Amino acid sequence: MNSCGPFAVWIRRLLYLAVAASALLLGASGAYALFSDSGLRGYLLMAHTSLGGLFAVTLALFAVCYGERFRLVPDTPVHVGQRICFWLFLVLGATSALSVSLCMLPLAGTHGQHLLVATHRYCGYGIALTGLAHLYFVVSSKKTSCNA
Amino acid sequence: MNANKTLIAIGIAGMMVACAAHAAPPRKHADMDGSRSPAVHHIPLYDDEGDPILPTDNAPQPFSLQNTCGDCHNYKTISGGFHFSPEAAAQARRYDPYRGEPWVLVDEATGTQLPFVNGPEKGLAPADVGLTAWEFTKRFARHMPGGAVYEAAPGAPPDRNARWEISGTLDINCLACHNVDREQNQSEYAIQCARENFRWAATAASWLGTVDNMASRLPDTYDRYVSPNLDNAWTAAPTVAYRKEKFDAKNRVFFDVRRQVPAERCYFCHSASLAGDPAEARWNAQKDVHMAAGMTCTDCHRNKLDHQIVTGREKAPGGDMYSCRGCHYGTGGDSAIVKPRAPHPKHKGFPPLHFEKLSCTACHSGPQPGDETHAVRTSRANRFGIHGRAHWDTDLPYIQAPVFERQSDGSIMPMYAVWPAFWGVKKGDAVKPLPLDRISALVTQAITTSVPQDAPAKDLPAPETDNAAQAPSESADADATAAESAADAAVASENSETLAPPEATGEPLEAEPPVKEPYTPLTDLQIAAALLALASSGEVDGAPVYVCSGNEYALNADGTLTVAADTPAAAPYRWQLGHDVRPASQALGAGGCTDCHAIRSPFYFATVSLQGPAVAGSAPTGIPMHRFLKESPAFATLWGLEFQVRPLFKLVMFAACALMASVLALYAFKSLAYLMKKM
Repeated sequence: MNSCGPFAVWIRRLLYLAVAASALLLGASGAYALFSDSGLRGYLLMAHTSLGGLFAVTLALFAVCYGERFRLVPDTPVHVGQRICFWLFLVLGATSALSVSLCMLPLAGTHGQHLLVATHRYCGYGIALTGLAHLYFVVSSKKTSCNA
Repeated sequence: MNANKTLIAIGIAGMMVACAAHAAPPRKHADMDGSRSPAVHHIPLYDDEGDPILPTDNAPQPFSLQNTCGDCHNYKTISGGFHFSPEAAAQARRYDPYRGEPWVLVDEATGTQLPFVNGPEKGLAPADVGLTAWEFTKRFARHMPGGAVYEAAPGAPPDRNARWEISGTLDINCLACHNVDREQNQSEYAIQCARENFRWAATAASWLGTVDNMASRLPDTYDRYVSPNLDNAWTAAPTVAYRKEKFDAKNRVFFDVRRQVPAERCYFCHSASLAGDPAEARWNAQKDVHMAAGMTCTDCHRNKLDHQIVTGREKAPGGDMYSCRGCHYGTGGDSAIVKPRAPHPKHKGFPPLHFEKLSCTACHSGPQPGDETHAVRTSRANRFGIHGRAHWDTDLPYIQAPVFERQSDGSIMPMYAVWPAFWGVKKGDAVKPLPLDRISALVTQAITTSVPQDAPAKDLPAPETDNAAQAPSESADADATAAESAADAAVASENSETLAPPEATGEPLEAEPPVKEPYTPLTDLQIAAALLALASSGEVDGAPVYVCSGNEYALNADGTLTVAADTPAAAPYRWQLGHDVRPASQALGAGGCTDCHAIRSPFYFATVSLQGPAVAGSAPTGIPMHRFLKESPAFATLWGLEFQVRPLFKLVMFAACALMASVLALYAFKSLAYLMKKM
């Protein structure tokens, strides 16, 4: 990690921001659909779909860039909670993207489609929780470093 | 005193008998005992007073189905059915979203096509269009199975012209639906109704007897219990000559009636076909997928004795079982309820959102959407199925389908749409239709005498306002004499078949039937001339307007036409399209997402034709479908664009998923390797 040049650092930061922003917007649009009568339709659906593409691509690149840093081995400098959050986020993100992508193929029937959408939705909930946990670890680590 | 008491007693007894005769409870039982074998109907016939019909009588009466069928079946219970009671029908339509097919008041001569509903529902009522119960029945009995429709609705205007005592009432004609005998002739029924032979119509239609003469020719003072005037054969009362060979030794007849009504009977009132060349349309006609599979209408549209027929709406009674979802998915996931042989839909690749936002009919029913909506004709609106010398079927009203519309609950359904066209009076923002019988002659005269199209409207000569003469279209209803002299004009009117038989009019039997001319739409000039005539007639209390094709035409002070679009009075009447159902291979989406989600796809961008009885120069001829879907064109275009790059999008998504899966696998292996090393 430390051997990376400033360009790579900026790329990583950019990726981090892109993943965070797209996840936030996806969560917001999903939550709106969940709590409103109209559901996910119109421009909101269009935005959700487009952001979903951005989220999937940036998350994949994010995984490539940050995978090494968050390895699940004891000798990594990152807090274990953060590492778990990273891999959980990746698993849920991949499942969410895959389930909704499979919806677009003529493979699953009505029951299968409902299952895929339910999977997508529950992964969304998981991503939101994991994101919050990640935020908690980030804030607590900042506090620790400030106190030190 | 004693004589008075006796008279009172006789009067009371008479009233009791009369009350008993009306919807009397059945004398014999017809309860289902579990046998699946149908009951054979060898039964006696009764007239409207409950007396048995003897074919050998000198002047036998027509049989009454109220008394004949009511002998075993409870007429009162049946009369609460949707087909017979507007209130019951309206009750059935309370399940939102649901609008039934309207009746359409058509008069081609005046360019009128005015949809209305006969029941306490949203929309114009018969009284709003100037129709009393009598006039409504006279115009539309042709496609009604009788029943309470003839009863005056509360608030309906009084009608001094009603002749129920002469015509008789239009009882429920059970045979119209249940008689599977191929001799059952609803065309004859319609013709008899046009002749005001209401009491005789069922007998004539059943072909058990031949009905002669017309009640419409009888004077208002006619009394059925007074001997006929034998010197005046032309105004003879209707008579029945029963076919004696149809009666057995006990004066019983065989009715080939079935509980399960064959589709051919339903079709008399419920046919719809694309406008255009009928021969071509028939040649190319597709069957509803259910009919092609050997089903019939009543397999889904079932009913009990109350005749409250399952409408197919999911929220309505029976809809949980006998709706699209009820049959094809089962009720609440209970697969035991799924009907045998109802295939479980696969819908592969359809995101479930489609099943929440679209009715099944949106993709599976009606004509395939094209660049423009199709002009459709229906039995009730365009007067199908009535055959004779006159052409009964009309070009008007112009009905458009499919119109995809977002309903109040957010779902999208395919609809029929008809744009009202009528002459009305504007007071404030409201437009009220003018009664056709009041303005028909005036408007027709103004239209036919208007000058060539290149002359400005203000230069028009003031049309004659003397409307003493009845318009041919209306005279055909009431007066058979006028109808005979205006046979051609009567073609365009309701009940035009009030023509005397050829032998009565002296016309040669081999005369060629009149050729039906296609409808010629009104022009700007004719509209202006008619509006001018109405304004100067003193008949109109307010500003006269003509509503047509979504526009409202009025006269400026200088005599030129002004057009206002999108006014409430000009809004189209829409009702849901259910049939014909197309199989999966012909449904929207069978060709992929781009069947609907494409730039300029018919689903969003087809032109909903504003076809009406007038062609006004500058008025628009259509509006885009997305207005009915309540979607902006920008959204529909963007959505279409997105689906153009959708294959690439899918590729990117799967590539991203593959990359994530690779990273997960790689680090899983790495972690595993670490653990192995530690061990």
